[in-house]
Amino acid sequence: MQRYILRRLAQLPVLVFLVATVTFFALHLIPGGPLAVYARGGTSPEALEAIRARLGLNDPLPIQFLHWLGPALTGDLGFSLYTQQPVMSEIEVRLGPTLILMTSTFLVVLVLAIAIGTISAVRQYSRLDIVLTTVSFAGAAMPVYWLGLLLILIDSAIRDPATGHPFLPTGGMTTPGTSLNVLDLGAHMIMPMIALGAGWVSWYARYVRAGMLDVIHKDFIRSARAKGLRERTVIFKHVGKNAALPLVTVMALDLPFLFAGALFTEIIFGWPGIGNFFYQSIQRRDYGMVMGIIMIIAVLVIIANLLADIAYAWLDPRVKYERGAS
Amino acid sequence: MRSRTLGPGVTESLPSQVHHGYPKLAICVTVALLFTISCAGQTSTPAGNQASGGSPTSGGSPTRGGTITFMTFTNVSTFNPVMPPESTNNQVGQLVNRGLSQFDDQGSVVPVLAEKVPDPADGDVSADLLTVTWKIREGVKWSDGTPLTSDDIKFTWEVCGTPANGCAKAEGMADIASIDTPDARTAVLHYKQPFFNYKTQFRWGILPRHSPDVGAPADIAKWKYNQTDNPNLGPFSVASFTSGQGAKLVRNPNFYLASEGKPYLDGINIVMRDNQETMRQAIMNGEATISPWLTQPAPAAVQELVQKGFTVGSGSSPYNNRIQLNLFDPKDPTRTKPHPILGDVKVREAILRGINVDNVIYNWDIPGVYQAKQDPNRFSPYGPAFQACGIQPVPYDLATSQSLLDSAGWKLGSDGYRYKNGQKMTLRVGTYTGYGQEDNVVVIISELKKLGIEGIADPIDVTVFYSSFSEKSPVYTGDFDILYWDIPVGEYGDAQGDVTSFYESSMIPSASNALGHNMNGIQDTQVDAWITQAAASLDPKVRAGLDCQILERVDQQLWAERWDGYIPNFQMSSPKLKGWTDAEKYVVFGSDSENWYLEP
Repeated sequence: MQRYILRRLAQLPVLVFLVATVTFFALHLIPGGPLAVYARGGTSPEALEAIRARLGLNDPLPIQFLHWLGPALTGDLGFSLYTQQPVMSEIEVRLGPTLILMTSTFLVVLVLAIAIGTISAVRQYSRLDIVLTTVSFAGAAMPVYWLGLLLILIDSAIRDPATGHPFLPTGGMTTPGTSLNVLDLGAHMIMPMIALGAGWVSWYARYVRAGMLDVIHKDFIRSARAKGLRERTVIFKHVGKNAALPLVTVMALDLPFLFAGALFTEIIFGWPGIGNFFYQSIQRRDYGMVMGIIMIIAVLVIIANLLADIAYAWLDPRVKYERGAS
Repeated sequence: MRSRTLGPGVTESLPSQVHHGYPKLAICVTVALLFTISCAGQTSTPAGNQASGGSPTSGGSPTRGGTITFMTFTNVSTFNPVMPPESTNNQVGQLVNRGLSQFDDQGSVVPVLAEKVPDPADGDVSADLLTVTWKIREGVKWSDGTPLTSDDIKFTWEVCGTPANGCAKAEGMADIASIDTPDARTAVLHYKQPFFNYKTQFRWGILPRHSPDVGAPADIAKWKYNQTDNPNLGPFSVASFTSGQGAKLVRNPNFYLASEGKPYLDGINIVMRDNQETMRQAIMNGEATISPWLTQPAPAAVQELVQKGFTVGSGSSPYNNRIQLNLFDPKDPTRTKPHPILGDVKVREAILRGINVDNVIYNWDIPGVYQAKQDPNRFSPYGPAFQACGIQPVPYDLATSQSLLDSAGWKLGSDGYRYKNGQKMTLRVGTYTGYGQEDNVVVIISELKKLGIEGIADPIDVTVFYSSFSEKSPVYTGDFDILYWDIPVGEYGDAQGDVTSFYESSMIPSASNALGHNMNGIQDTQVDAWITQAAASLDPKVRAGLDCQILERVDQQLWAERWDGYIPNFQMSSPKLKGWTDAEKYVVFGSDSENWYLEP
C-alpha cells in the first residue's frame, strides 16, 4: 500500500503538467480575449493595444505558456486581469466559502442518505419506503436553480411578524456590515444547502438502498442473525460495511465538486464561491485565473481520489493495490 | 407483516405489501406547496408614502444617518478611479471618488473639486489649446486630512500618461507633454497637440502621490490602492473589501462638502448578486436598499415593484445603439470587394428606411416607467454637440424601401423573399450576447421580413464581440452583414476622436491597424476631408458643425448606418431612500451619493 501511495504521488506533477498544457492551449483556441471587458467599458483603442502588448498577449502561444509556467512552478499563479488581484489570493478568498458550503452539504447529505437508504432497505416496500422513495425521486427531479428560486419565493412569502422581514436571508454568505458569526452564517446556508442537497440525498440514498438490498439477503447475513446478533449490529456492521463500497465509489467521483463549487447555487444565492467565479473567469477569458483555478482543483482532485482509494482498501480487505495482486 | 418459512421452526420476516394510501399524501403535499407558491406572489411590502415610477429625488428635508445596502450585479474589482473596466466599477467608484469636474444631467461640464472649469474666454486655456490651467477649490482634502494638491494631478498624469501602464480612464493623458505646479492649488498642463476634451479629462478622479498603497506607475494594475482607495476624495471611504463578497463604505469626514453636512448617510454596504430575480427579491424583502442596473428587466416585474410602492428610476445610459451595414464582402479578408448585397447604396437606403426604429426601441418600454419617446435627443449619439445639429432620423417608409429594392433588381419570390439572379436576399444580423440585445435583433429580423429580406440572427459571445482583430472578433475582421450594437459614446464635449475612429478611411481595422473602429468600411473622400478640416480647427463650433455634416453624410447619403437611441437604464430602490438621480446618459449613477438620505 505504501508503495502504491508513493507511486500515485509521483504521478501527480506529471498529471498536473499535462492538465496545465491542455488547458492553456484549449483556452486560447476559444475566440475572444481578456480585454473585451475593458473595451466595452470605454477604454481607448490605444490604451487597449498598449495593455495587450504589456501583458504579452501578442506573443506566440508557447512563449505565453512558458511565461506562465515559470512563475507557476514557484507557486506564483499570476494575476487576474479582471479583479486585479493575485490569482492565489482570489482563490483563497473564494475556496473557503465553497468548502464551507459544499462540505457542510456533503456531510448532511451523507447522514440523511445513509439514514434514508438504510430505512428503505430494511423496510423494503413498506409505506415509509414508498414515501421516502417518492420524495427522493422528487428531489432528484427538481433542477437546482428552480428549487433555489422556489425556496427564495417561499421564504419571501413567510414573514417574521416582529420585523416584517423573511425569516431567512435571500442570499449572500453573511449579513452586510456584520462580522462573520456562526449563527448568521448558518442562516445564510440553509436555503443553499437544501437546493444543493435535495438531489444529492436522493442520489446517494438510492445507492445505499441498492447496496444494502444486494447484501441483506445474502447467506452470511442470515448466519449473523442466526448467531443471535442484534439487528442493529447486523445492519450497520455486516450489511452496512459491505454495502458502503458502491457509495464510496460514487463519493470519490463527487469529490471534485467539493472544490469546484456549485455554479447554479452560487448564482441564485449570491454565494461567493469558486464555482460561479470560475465560470465568469472563463466567460471573461481571464486566462490567469482560469489556469490557477484548474491547477488547484486538479491537485485537490488527484489527492482526493487517492484518499478514496485508500478508504476503499480499508473497507474491503480483499482490495490490494500492489503489483501482481489480484 | 408477511413471513416465509425457511425450515422447521425458522421463519423470516418479509416486507409488507404496498399500501395504497400514499398517493393521497403526495396530493396533499403538492396542494400545500402550490398554495404556498401562490401566496409568495402576493407578498406584502413596506408601503412608501409615494409610489412613483419616475425620478425619485423629492422628499422632505434630508436627514443625516443610516446605512444602506447597494446591490450590484457583477463583481466589484477595484475602487481606483482610473482603473474600472466596466460599469459596475464605475458606479461603485462614484461612491468613493470625485474628479476635478463632471457632467450635469444636461451634458454641461460643471466644476467639482476644481474652482472652475477652464475656459479660453477666462484665460485659463491658451488660444492654441496647448496650455490649460486648473485651479483646485480651496480647502479640498483627502480622506486622511492631507490637502489635495496640484502635485497629485501631476502624479495622475505620470501614471496614466503612458498607455502601456494600463489606465482604463486616461483620455488624452498621452497628449500631455508636461505639467507645471506653480503653487499647491494650480496645475498648468502643456499639451503636445490640442486635446479638445480637456474639460472632463480628470472627471473620474485623482491619484494620491502620498498614499502608502500606491506604487510604481507601471504596476498600477497591482497596487494595493485598487482595493483600499486609501486615501480618497469621494463622499464615502472604503472601510473593508472582500473580493467576491462586497465592501463596507463609511462616511468620509474630510469630504469637500462636509461643511454642508454631506454625505447624509453614515455608510453604504455593497453586495453582489448575479441574478436579477434575487436582486429584486432582496429589494422587496428589505435586504437591499438600492440597485443601480437592471438589464432589460421583465416589464411585469418592474410594474410589480412600482405598484408595491418601490421606486424605479429610468434614465438613458451612455450606450447608444446603432445599425451598421457592412460595405465590404465578409468573405474577403482584404476588405476591397464590395458586399454582394449591401454594396448597392439603394439596398442600404432601403434597409435603413424600411426598419421601423420605433418597433425596436419600444422593445424597451415599460409602461409607466420608461418610454423611449421621452428622450427627444435619443438619436443624437454625441450629446449636446450633436443635438445642436438638429439631425433627425429618416422617417420609416416601407413603400419607398420596397420600391428601392425593386429598382435594385431584387424581386419578390413566391415565398415572400427577394431574389436576384437566383440569389436569395439573406443577411446575418449580429449582436453580442448576455445584455438583451438579442431581443432587439429579433425585432429587426421581423422588420427585414416585411421588406422581403431573410434575416438570420448571429449572436456573438460578448467577450468575442468586443475583443480585437487579432482575437478574431467578427466585428473587427469584417465577418458580418448587419451589426446591431451599442458603444459608450464618451466624447460628449467634442466628438472628434470618435468621428475619426468610426469614419476615417484609414481606420478600417486590420492586422496592422488594431486601433480602427471603422467597422463597416466607410471610404469616402468627402468624409475624410471634413475629418481633416475639423482636426485642423480649434473652434469647437466649427468642429461640431463639421462632425454633424459627417454624421449626416454617413447616415443619410452613404446609408452606412443609423443611430437608434440610447439604451435605457433601470434602477430600483426602497421608497425610503431619497435624493438619488437616475439619469445616466451623462451622469454616472452614484455621482450624487452625497445627497442620498433615508426618510425617517
